[in-house]
Amino acid sequence: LQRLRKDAERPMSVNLAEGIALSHQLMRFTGAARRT
Amino acid sequence: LTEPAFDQLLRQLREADVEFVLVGGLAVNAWGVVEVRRTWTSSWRLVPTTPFSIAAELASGRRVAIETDLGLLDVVQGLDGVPDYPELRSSAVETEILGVKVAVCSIDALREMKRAAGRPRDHVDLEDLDAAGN
Repeated sequence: LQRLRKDAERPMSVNLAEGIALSHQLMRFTGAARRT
Repeated sequence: LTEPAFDQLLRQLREADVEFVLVGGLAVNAWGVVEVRRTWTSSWRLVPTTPFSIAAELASGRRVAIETDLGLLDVVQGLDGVPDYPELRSSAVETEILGVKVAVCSIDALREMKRAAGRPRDHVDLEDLDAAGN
């Protein structure tokens, strides 16, 4: 809960950049899993 | 897909003067709920990928998922609960991601779409947005 509130206080651009970075990591992971 | 690059995809859309508003998972991220389970997910559902067929799909007014070299582009339109573009754009918030200006749907519009979608994931998103103080 604290983490959520801290994130919500950050600038939107920071949250968006982090969301995109996490998406990239997730897709790399799923892409690798699909190839194996 | 090879290496996803959503930031480049957003940049190319802007450079091509494509008007859009971010909704869904990325909008949830932008409004302060940043976790892996909230981020864009990959999708195996594809539409025909020739430019002509994509244009026809878009013109149909239906939702279109386009797989590009830079990641999946999910064009959301014509769905129940999704406000039309002028309404969505007028209340959107401008922000910048890696030097690219993008519009993110308002928190009220996001909530409205989440309530309308009504999937278990949407309910969790609504709870998290509440918890985040949004």
